[in-house]
Amino acid sequence: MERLERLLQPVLGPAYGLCLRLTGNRQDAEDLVQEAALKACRGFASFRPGSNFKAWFFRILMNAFYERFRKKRPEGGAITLEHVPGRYLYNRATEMGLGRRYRDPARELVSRLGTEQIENALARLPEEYRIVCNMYFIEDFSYREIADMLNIPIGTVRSRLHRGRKMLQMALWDVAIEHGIITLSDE
Amino acid sequence: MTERLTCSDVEALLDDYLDGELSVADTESVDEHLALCASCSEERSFEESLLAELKCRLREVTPPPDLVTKVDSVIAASGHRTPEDPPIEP
Repeated sequence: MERLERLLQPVLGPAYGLCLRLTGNRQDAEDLVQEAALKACRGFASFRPGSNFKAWFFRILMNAFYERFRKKRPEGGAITLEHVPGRYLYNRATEMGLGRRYRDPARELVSRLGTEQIENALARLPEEYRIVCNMYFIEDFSYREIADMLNIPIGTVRSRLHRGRKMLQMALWDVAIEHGIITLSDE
Repeated sequence: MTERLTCSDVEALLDDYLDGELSVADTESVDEHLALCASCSEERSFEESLLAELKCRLREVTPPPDLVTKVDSVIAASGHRTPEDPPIEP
C-alpha cells in the first residue's frame, strides 16, 4: 500500500465523524472527507514525515469545511454569550438531588438524552464555539493541536472551549426540559 | 512553598485540569485542594463523568463501509498518487 493511503486509513473514520457533526449531513460529510483526502494527496510534499499526520490532515479538512460551508450555515445562536454561568448542569443536578439518588449523576443525565438530542444541544452553540467543541469531543486533540488546525491562538481555543462547554451545559438542560426528559417532578 | 488554592481558583482551573492542560505544579496544587475539599471533589467527579459520557456518545459514528475505497478511488483518479514506500531493508 502507498504511504499516504496508509496514513489516511485510520483517520478517515474520525474525519467523517467530525464532518458529520459539523454539517449534519452524511453526503456532505463524505464529500468533505474525499475532498480533503484529495487535497492532502496534492499537498503531501508539505507533510513532514514523522510529524502529526492526523493534525496535518484535519487542518486540511477544516480548511475544506470553511471553504464550502462556513458562509452557508445560518448562525444558530439560541444561546447568547452575555451570561454563561459555570457548572450549570452540576448545579442543576445538585438542586434536583440527583447526587443523592444516583452514584453518577452526570452519567444518569446524559443517559436520559438521545444522541440526536445531544447533537441538537451542540448545534445551538454559535459557530466558532460549535467547531472547537466538536473537535474537542470527537477527538482527543490538545488545545495546541486545535489551535494549529484552525490557525487561531491557543488562548482563543481555550476560551472558546471553556465557554462553549458552559453553553453546551445550558443547552443540554434546555433540550432535556423541552423533551420532557427532566421534569419539575424530578426537582 | 506555594500558596494553597481556593475553591474559586480550582473552579477556574478545572477545565484545564480535566483536559491535562495544566503545568505539573498547577496540577499538583489542584490535586492537593481536591484531596481536602469534598465539594470541589464532587464537582470534579461530575464534570469528569459528564465529559467522558458526552465524548462517548458523540463518537458513536459509523462511517460508510466503502469510505476508504471511495477515497482511494478519488486519489487514484486524480493522478496524484504518492510514491510507494521503499522496501524495508532486512
